[in-house]
Amino acid sequence: MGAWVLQEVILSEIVFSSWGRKIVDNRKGGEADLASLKLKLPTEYLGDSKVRAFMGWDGVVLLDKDTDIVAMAAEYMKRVQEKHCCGKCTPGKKGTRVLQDTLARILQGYGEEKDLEIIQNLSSLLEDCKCTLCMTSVIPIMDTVTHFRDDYMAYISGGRKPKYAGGYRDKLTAPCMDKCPAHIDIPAYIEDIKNYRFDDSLATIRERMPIAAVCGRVCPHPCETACRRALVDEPISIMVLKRVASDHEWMHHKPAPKLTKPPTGKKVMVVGAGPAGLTCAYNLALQGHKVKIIEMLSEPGGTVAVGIPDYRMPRHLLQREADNIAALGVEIEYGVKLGRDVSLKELKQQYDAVFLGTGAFKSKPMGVEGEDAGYDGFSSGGINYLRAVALNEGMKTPKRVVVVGGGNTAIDCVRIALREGAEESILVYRRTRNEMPAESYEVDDADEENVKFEFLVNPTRLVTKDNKITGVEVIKMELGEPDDSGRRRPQPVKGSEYVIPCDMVIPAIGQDPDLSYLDDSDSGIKQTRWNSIVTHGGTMMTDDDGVFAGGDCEYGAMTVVVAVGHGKRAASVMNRYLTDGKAILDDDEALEDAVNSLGVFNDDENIPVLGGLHREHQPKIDGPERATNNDEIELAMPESQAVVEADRCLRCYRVAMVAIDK
Amino acid sequence: MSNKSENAMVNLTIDGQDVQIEAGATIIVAAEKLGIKIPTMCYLKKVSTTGACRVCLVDVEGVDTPVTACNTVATDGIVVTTSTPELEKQRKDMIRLMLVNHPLDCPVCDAAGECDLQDICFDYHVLDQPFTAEDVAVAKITDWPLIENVPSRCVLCEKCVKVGYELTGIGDFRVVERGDKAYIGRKDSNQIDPYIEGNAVAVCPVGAMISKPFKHSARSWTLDKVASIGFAGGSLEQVDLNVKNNKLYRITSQDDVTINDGLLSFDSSFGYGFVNSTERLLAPMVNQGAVEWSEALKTVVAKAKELGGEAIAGLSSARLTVEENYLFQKLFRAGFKSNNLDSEARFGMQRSSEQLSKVLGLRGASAGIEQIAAADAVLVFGSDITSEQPQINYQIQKACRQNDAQLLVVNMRQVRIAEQSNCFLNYVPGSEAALAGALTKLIVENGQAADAFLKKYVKNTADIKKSLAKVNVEKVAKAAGVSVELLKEVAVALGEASSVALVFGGDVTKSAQCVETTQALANLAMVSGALGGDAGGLFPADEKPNMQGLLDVGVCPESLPGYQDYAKGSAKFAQAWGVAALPEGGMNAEQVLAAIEAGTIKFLYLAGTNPLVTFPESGRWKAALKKVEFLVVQDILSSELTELADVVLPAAAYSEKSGTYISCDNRSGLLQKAICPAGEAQSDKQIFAQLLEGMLGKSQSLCNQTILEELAGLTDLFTEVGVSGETYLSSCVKQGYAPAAAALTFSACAAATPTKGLQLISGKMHAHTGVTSTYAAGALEIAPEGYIEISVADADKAGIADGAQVSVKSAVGSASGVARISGYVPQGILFAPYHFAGLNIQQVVPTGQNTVAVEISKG
Repeated sequence: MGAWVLQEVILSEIVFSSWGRKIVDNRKGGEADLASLKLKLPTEYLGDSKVRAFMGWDGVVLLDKDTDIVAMAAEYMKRVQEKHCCGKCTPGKKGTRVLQDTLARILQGYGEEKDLEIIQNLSSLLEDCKCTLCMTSVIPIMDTVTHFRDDYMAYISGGRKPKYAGGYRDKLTAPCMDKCPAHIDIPAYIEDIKNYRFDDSLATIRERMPIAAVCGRVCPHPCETACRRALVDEPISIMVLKRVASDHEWMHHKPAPKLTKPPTGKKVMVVGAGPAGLTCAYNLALQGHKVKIIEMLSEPGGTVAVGIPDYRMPRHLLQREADNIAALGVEIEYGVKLGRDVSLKELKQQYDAVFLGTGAFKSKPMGVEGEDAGYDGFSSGGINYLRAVALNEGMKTPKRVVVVGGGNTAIDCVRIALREGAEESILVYRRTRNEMPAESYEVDDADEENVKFEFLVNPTRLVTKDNKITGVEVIKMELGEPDDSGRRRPQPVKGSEYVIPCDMVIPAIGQDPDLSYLDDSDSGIKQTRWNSIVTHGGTMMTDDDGVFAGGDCEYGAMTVVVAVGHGKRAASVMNRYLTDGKAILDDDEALEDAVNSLGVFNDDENIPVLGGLHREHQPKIDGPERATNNDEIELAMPESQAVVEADRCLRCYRVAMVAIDK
Repeated sequence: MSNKSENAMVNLTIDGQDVQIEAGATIIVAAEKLGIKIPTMCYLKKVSTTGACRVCLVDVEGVDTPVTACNTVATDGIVVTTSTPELEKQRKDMIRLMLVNHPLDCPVCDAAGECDLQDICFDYHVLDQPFTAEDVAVAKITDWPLIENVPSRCVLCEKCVKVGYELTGIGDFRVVERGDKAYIGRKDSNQIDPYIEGNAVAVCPVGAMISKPFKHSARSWTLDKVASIGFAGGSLEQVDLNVKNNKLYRITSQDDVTINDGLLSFDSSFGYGFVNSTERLLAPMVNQGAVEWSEALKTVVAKAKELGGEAIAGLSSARLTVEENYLFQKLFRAGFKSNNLDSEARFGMQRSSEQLSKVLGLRGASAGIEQIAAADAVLVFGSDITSEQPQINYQIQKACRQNDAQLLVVNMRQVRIAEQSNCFLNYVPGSEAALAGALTKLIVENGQAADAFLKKYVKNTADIKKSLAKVNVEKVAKAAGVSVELLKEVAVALGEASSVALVFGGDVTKSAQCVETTQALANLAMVSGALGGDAGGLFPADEKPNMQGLLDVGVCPESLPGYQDYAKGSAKFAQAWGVAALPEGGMNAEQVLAAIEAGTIKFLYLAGTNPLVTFPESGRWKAALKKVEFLVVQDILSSELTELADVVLPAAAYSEKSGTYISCDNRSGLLQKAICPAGEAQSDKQIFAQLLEGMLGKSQSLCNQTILEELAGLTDLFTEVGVSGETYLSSCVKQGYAPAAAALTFSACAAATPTKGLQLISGKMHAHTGVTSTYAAGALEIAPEGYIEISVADADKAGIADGAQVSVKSAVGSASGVARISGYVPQGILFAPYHFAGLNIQQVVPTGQNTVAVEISKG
């Protein structure tokens, strides 16, 4: 958040706030500030200007009493109408135009008092809008009419002249769009699907994400936790709809569009062909930069390729995405590892900018006896096991396999072990099923495939014979007080040890980035105490000028979509760095981070929409028999069903605007 | 669990009345069921809901603000109120908003009188306007062809956008701009064969989308609407001819009445102008001089009697009605004593029809075209279907959107529908039959053949394996120039589908390989299970409105009406027609041409057909027609052909007569006479009847029903004769297709005979049908002349620039026209539309083919 100074740090008086429908009016005294209102609204904008007021879907926040609130309201409505309103419903198209002109008239001194009634009347008509864009835009306007009536009257009858702020910056957002780390324009792509325009839908997704086939399948879809439809009945299947858009192109043999700008002559090196690297390379290539990717593995996708099994993410589709990116002129060289085959220093010398997307491939140790003794049957880690299977490295899976951990990688390991011939595949986790960080549907899937679960046990010792694993000793656990993560802390039950016989133990309790390539460089790139790379202010630039980082190596092992978000943001900033020499955010990104900090989704909202509609699900191959092969489990949702699902979307657009002093 | 696909029902209450509807349906559908009309401007039942106008607001108990009835899915137990004072006020305000800056040009607006906005303002007594705003509407768009768009009148209901995108699949309208400036735009396209979405005009609730040919020509309320059939495409496009003072002004249609659901072809929207053309033939002529009808007919009769049947030949047309074509062959066989009669079908559908009959016992399509919409997979083989039979295209679009059908397109060119396909096999001419064979083999190999069907209905099941054993899929793919993977994908899609619709068209029926390809497609239809069940089927498509009716009545030397063998059946017909005997022998079109050249045919009668432009080897026909002693041309428009004629008989256009058309899927429809014939023109039926009287001295009934009954009595074509239907009428019912057990034949698989070198394809283009449309100002506005379409690679190789004059030369002739460089033809392929007398591409094409090896040169 470097470009923004959060209110939690600096206290700021507020003059007026109606945010969240809670009126705080300090104009005649009062001391409420942003912090006391728990409003995470930045007070500085892009480092060099001050926020004077903020207007949006949930009210008005006035920080500077000299802000001309009427002028700001007029400007806000102008932008809503001319820049954001889609025109696709009568009250939105016409109503916000009437509002814009009415406010403009008032500002020009031609207003009448009855104009305020018209505004009021229109704002109730706008409640019948098709979507929430124009609908919510009248909320701050009405707040100003209600609480700043004197200011309006000063224009209407007092001849006041407008005093514009130094600048206004606006941003279109939506709860889902905000919650998506890649900030995809979700309502737009869903509306395209609703209208059977699958290619347009994919084009919208691609503005933010080049690997829709991946995030349409294995994204943890945080967007769906911010879906307002959930407050009516069930959230929209946002992720699956993305897959529908992406699969449409593939299933119709359509080539991906290639719309690159003219060559800039700049050369960029992207290290790692994972989601972050591919996204970064794609966006830089679109801008006309010459991009090369080096990848230590023999195929693209990074953790997605070798850490996510084919039955969840078929690799030929990942390859297709990489091919599409390569078709833009991006060169991908496989089998080249940073730190081993080439140094960061060399890359910096040869390229105008470098992006590090090296992932998190180092398995965390379990911390049990014998772990590093090199026993036959002890895997160096879940991620390594998955990779060895994926790349056909001759990994033999024995009859009884124990996987330790509760995350997605652990789940993938137990399920892959079944597919690799294990007769018994056992997951050992120190807490209960409820605390498992893995996606619950995947735990269910594993259950259906006859994976065995041992909950509330923790490994204590490896049991071996002739240097070979024969079992793992575990101790029973019980849940105590909640820890920092809010989950109840597991505690061992003394003397409850027992042995689970097995031929193989796979620890899958987490991964760290392997940043050994930084060891002998004098780059000055700082690392966090969790072995990840430090970047600054949402620019994704490290402490080394021209070197950017994103994805798991920057954040620690996280999700595909976070990596995509990083790749996109990094490419955007790198483009400015390459063309203007400045690694800074643009207005859209600055506001993207601002509204993200403020929060867009409000789970307390009462939504006046008739509910009762189920969320549509894609069909799935049933039961244990699917565990006998690596075919994709989730089948494509028929497009007509996707259209029905898309029609449930409430299109929760909102417009935010700040007034700044410069 | 799905909100749509279950057959569950939902109960709800609207205005105190209980109603039950299918789960997934919206409130407005439920209200409609109760007969409660909820006002709306944007709701169009046949496309997906839009929710744009916000007029259809209703209250639902428990929901704080009103919801839109058009797109709110009704859930079980809801209680809906459609009218309260508050709702009425809000609706009225919505209408007022819609009217902000709406121009007050109703007096000169074409939509006046049929404008939903006018009606709703009237219904809601919208008398005042409290809202004002700057008028930011984009200026009237007048530079689109055929359609004028007036954004200030537009209510942005998106009906035009959706009808074009969802139902025709080729309309290109969309909303552009933001806020109040938002309007309907279209991609500025420079297509060689443009398509303009006439349905946009049809569905526009206001006067925003205006048909240029119709603009300012008539007030809607002064027009009479006569229910009839469109003049293009063999699928009975039900239309209303809008007429006044004996003139055809426009063509519209009605939703919800028939399977066409109000959808219009381009031809009906814009191509009808030939009816009013100044080139219409208005009076009979003998030796190019106007004469009385009696004299013209007398001249024909006298000449016929003088020359005798053996010297007489005649060619008819698939534009003539069933009754007319029946009388045509009767006139020839009983009147002129000549069995030298044929039609354009000789070079196309007739050959396919014969094969389908031989191997499948099938005439026309195996099922109604609505079964295409229900299919799981649709294979469009050798057809530019959006252009050949637009109503079939609509069914395909439905299949894709509503039924998630796989669309598989096999064509030599990248025709429009290919862009929407899951798989597109772009084959080399000459590999059609082999491709179909390879698909058949792959389906059988994949274990996905319709074994139960084959076992029950195919008589030579043992041959299936044997014939397919000879098919080498890899070799076929190579010869056809398609990838094996793609070929396999198509086979899997066909094999996996529980129902398959197989559509084929002119590129099969008119090709040199017509027989083999039809047989191969029949094999494919059997193996893929297309012939059984209530979804899918086999559908031969043709651009002419009555191709099936023409075939049914035996306008060819080898068969009598109802496909009865000529030699065997002639005694029966002779008796029925009251003549001693029917003439023996008989020549088909190809033989007639040779006989004219040899001087044995001296009298040629052309009824609604123009061999100078449309027949292969048209140059040879021209020489022959110049040579023939006596040429009778019965047509509606003057042309080079009528200039050659000894007798010209002016005929009534399709809007000026009544009669039966039979669609490709064996439905019958009744053309209705909407206006009087131009000048002294008479219907083809009248002309034939009078000549028949002149020849036989007996009167011939002109009553359609009487003629059909005569036909029915002599054949087993119909199960019923008699007018039925409410809005759009039908005159008879044909027997449906039901294969008999062990009656179908699996044919031997043909090998590929791929062509080498540059090939020219002649075919139909979208804006035109036959030659008649080249007299329609609307069609000419977007497609004024012929052209030779060439790939970038071939153009580069020959140094040809776009728009340059080029010549193509084949073994049978040459033609010259402008070159149009395009990405829709692959390297090695040229395409030229056949409609234009100027280009006359058929000079280059040999008889019985639609492709030919050519050389191309500049100049």
